[in-house]
Amino acid sequence: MKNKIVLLALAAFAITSCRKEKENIIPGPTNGDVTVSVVYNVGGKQLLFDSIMYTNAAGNKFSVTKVHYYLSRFRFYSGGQVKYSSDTIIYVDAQKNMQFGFTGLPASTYDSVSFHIGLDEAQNISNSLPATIENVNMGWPDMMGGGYHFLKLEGHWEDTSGTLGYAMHIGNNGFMVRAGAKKSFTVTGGKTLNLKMNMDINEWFANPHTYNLATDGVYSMGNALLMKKLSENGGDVFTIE
Amino acid sequence: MRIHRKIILCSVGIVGLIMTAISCKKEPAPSTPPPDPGYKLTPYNIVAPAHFPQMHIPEDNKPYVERIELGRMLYYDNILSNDGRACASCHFQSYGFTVPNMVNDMPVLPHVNLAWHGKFMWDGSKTGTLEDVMLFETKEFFATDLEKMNASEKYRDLFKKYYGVDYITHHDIAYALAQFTRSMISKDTKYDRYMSGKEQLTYNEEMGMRIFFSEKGDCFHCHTAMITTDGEMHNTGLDSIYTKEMDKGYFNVTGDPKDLGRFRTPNLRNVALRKNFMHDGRFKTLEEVIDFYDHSVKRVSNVDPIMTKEGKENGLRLTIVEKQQLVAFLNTLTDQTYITDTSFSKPTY
Repeated sequence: MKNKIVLLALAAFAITSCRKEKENIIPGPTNGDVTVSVVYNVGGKQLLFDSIMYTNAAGNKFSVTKVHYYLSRFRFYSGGQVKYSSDTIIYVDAQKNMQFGFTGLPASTYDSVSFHIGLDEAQNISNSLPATIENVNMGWPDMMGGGYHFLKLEGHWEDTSGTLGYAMHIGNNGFMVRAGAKKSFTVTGGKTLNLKMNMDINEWFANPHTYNLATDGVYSMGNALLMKKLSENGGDVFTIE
Repeated sequence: MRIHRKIILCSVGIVGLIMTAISCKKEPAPSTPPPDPGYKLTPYNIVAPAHFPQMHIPEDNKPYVERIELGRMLYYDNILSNDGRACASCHFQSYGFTVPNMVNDMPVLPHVNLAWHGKFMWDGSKTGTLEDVMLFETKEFFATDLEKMNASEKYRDLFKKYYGVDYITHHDIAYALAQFTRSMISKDTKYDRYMSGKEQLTYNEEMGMRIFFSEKGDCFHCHTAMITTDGEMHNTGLDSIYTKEMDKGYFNVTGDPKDLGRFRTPNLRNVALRKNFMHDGRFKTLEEVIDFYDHSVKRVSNVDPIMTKEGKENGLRLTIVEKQQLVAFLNTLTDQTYITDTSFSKPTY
């Protein structure tokens, strides 16, 4: 009887230990999530709308009244290789709290992120985006090439004759902004990482081209030269924190 | 005895908790009751025009043929007010659901494609869904007498049948009015037919459209394609001094100086049928409106940046012909179908 009890105990132990062993080799979650918050500054100062309190590289004193744009084609890199990509198109209105996210990123350490400000040729087709009020209002007239505004950055500035408006609008194929930022971060399986994208509005007016509202012009829509300048300046408007 | 009291106290407590839970659940919004048992409503499929934004329809007020009809009946019935007015008193179908005269020194904004609005009134003072704004109309604007409404056998029966209510409330009236006004959609202008490839524009209309949708006129940033309004508030440089209270616009709602002189972008469908333009009707013809945008925009500090852009600091500088072409295009926004569609007209029964 005693022997039987010992045998049963041993068998139970063996089963339990086997189970434990199995549990030990079950891998943890291999994917994690990322949420992104977008914040704004102008040359290091917090963005306050409708206030002529900023100065760009050309010395123009200006305010910001509107920042609407699209983000698309996100790519997350590790060691120069794309480890995660998303083709979601994200509309952003800077006056509304903006947060978006990506799910299922491989657990890994990443070193940089690239994305587009605007839409590429395949996406930039009139009425191709879901007909939300925001997308409809971002429409770029067919007779000017069709598709959508990639960016609407508007405000007022002071010239010698008083206060004037400016409207930095980018659209049309060829003027999409290829942007990105270096940032080392680790996505842990089963967890959500919070990233912050910080747009410096002043960077639209500098690097590589100093954009002077007084001499370059205050309205870019339909002006290929100005849209090109802005598009090239837009590459580094974002940093990631 | 003590035990008995404890049981009673416990019971009261539990009942209280249940009551609290139930009342908390019910509090957020009064839901629309189902129709009278045994009455089957006919679902109505609202067809939005091509390339319009998605329409938001509240879950608790899905469209039904019968409820839309009830809303139409109310729209034309002066039972809504205590002074003989109905909605239709200031919204004539033949003028695109506005009137040629001013009301309280303001042009009446037309009832057209309201389902896509989030802000209502010239100064954007009413926001929300059509149900919200119709509740304002019946409860505050008309101050509908519920006793009078409930004394009407016709409405009592219809509301009982379609909404399953024994006593008609302002909420019920608002929901029925919202059903009808949501169905009031303009989608058959010449411009619509041109955009869907069914009809050609004349040379002048085409040239006018090019002015409208290009940097030349730059109307499109506020009067978006197809829907013809971005639904936003803008200061277009009408005034540099706000002499009348009404001229302050959105400022009267927010109290924020940057909102001085800002008004909601009006819908341009059937604009050629209107007799008064801008929030105070200061212009009487489309030509006068175009002349204003052409060379009279005031450079106030919060004027929309689009209005004072480079090359246009001194106005659009359109030629006489270009102005005529712009008017020709605006005339293509008249929707004869909308202004004659009998399903929007005064019921004959």
